[in-house]
Amino acid sequence: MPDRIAPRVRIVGALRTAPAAFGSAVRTHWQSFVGLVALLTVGGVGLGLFALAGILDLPFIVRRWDSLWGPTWLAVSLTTTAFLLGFATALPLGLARAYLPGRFRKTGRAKEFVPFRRARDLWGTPRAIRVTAARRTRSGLNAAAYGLATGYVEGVRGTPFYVQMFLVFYLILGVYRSFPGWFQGGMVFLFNTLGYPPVPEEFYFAGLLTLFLNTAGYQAEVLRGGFQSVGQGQIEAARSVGMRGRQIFRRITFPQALRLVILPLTNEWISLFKACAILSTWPILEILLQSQQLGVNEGHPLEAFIMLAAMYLLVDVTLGKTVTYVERKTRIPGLGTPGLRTGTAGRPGRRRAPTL
Amino acid sequence: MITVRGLHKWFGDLHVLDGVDLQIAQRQALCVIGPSGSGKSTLLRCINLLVRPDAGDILLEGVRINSPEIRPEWVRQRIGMVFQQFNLFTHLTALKNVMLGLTQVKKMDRSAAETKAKWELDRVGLGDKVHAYPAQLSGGQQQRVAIARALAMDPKVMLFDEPTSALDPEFIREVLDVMARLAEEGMTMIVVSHEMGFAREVADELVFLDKGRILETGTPEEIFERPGHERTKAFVSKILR
Repeated sequence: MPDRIAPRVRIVGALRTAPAAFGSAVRTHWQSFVGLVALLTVGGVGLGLFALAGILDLPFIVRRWDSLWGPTWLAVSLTTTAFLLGFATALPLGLARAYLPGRFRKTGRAKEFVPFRRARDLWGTPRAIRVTAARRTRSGLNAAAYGLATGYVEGVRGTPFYVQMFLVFYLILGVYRSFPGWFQGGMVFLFNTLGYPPVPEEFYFAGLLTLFLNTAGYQAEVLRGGFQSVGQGQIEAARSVGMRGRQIFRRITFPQALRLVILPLTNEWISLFKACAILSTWPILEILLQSQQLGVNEGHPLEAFIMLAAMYLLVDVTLGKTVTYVERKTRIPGLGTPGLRTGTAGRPGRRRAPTL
Repeated sequence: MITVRGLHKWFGDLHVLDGVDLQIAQRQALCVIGPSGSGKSTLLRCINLLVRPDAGDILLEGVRINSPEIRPEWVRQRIGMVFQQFNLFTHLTALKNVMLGLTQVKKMDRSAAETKAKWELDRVGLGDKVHAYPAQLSGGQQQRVAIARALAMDPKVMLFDEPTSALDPEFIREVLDVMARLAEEGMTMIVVSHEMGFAREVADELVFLDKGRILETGTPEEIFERPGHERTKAFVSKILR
């Protein structure tokens, strides 16, 4: 009997120790490229076979690749501008979503108390009425602001980007010509400077506005999550040394939340970049439209869309890798997403303390 | 130093503090014991105004600190607090953890704050760990950083809310040692703790809290050896085993 069991035990044992043995090798990191290289090889061979079969015109891709850079720049710059404006708007929105509920619901701080006997003395006095009225007003304003922020976020999340785009475009195209001259001039200047193809600038403006309004809603929720995931204990500790709400936010909540939201915000940029393709419905010459034109006008639809996919991958993967790299280099132990190599054995980055 | 008179606190229908009276003189160490849910933590948090009492007075050197006219930040600067869960700022090194209150609240300049913070960390025996992040420190070391952070503000009173309850047994000693030395140096402190050895050696007075009321007050010996109240007896026999 033992003879029969033994080999199996040995195999299981080997499997169990395998990860440990592998662990040190993973440090060199080259294995992670094997999968990528394999994928690229398969892809390349596939493309080659299609090319040999005459289905795919590879020289076309090489020849026309450069025509994609302009539209890519357009999409990247439009997305990034909207993203940054969206971030600036999402900050107050996220703050409102995270913190206002405590400022008007009964469970919150609003229930400031006057001792009973003093309450009885104060009842109905002008001061008491004034204080109560001020408190009610503040509470009401807070509730209204929260409702506004929530309504906005739900509105953005609850409707398709496509629909939002049409709403914004029809609205803007209707009113744009009545905007002040300096504004229209500014827009012309902006989009000319960015080197966009000469389409009436209200199209770019409407596109930018759509992207901005959309991403502001999503980023607000990301930021709210970030703010709320900073431990209540730390906030209490900060209060206990005498820090005020604003200081606590600036020195504790915000820096920690920012680290926690780097990856979700990267996701958001990538989503927005892809949503940008939908703007090609209007004559905004970003990459999707460019590829369609390449495909239709020059009769190479398959090649055009292979180029399109490759360009998206190039931009998104480059961004993703850069963010991961930066994040790893600036990581603080115990905060945010752990590295690929989790646990204390991993390299905590350059911030590692000299001794433990 | 601190006088608490007729302190009441409700959480909804729950009467957490039911008329607590307490006095603590300067350079005295007061230990608060009691079953969980008896209101010990709430009492400390009221004194630090992290929780607003619903009725009663808290006097710090004769000033009624729970008056609406008094800014809670003013009070909290003067009353240090140490939490069960340490609550260090995760994104800051030990040094920065201690410095933050000095630069933000006391408005000290960076170099002065750094000197002071280093001195405080040295005082709790962590002079060699100033650049470590909380995640790189043991529980005991983290709690000592938290103590240094509170001490750096030069508080008149220190509040300890079960400072050793979240620690592995091996690290309890080092934290209690720091606290005992503080008491020796004459720091006024209120400690919620079930460390009987510590209470016996360090506390001048022991208070037994149950269901939001103080049932018994006395020296540690009196309470541990001759508890007068039935509930105190039951509780003490449980924790002394």
